[in-house]
Amino acid sequence: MGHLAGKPLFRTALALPLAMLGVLAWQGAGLEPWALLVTAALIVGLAQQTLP
Amino acid sequence: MIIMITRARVSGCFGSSLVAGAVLVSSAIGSAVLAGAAFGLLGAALEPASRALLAGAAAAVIVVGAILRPVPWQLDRETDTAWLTYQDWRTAAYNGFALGLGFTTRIGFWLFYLVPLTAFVVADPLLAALGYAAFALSRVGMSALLAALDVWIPGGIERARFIADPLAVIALGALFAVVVPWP
Repeated sequence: MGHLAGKPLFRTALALPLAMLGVLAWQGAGLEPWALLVTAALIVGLAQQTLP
Repeated sequence: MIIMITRARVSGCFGSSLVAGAVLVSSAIGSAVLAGAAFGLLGAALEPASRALLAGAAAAVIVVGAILRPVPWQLDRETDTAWLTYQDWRTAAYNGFALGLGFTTRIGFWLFYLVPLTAFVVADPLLAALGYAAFALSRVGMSALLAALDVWIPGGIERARFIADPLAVIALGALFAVVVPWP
């Protein structure tokens, strides 16, 4: 699966619906930009614990 | 080797790893607050239309980058190993400062780009500083906590990317919805 996830075609096919999902989710939820900042900040900080 | 470096980051500070950890996290939060405030100030200094144009273009470029390659554009390096030789508060302070900024070392994930970009879009120095501080707390605070608990996470970056990359694209789509007027 990790190998497949590295393929640009697979990533393109996945990215477009995900980006649209983000657009729709944001419009539906009506959140503020700072909420996006805090959420992304917390998640990426945790993910970076796996950095070599 | 990595474990040794990580240990050294939070040691050698008044002989107390607790003090060293506090210096590390405080320094990281300090640099993150400065970076966040700068991005927020930059966003506030621009007209809303210009800000939206710049942020929308940046988001589009990042999405393309995330599609083309799993590894983000980054400075492929760790913090300066020469700082380990200080054997005093500077080791923790300098490492904390660099890690709190985030972009001066390896970022590892496309999702990181959301932090400075969203801080810019927020266009409020205070809110942007607080949001960036959340990154420092999560990034460095968790590292210090794991080091204190003697827990090490070997590898796993590929699996983490498998979750973080889709989240980054969803978040970039959401950012588009924020900056681009929709009917």
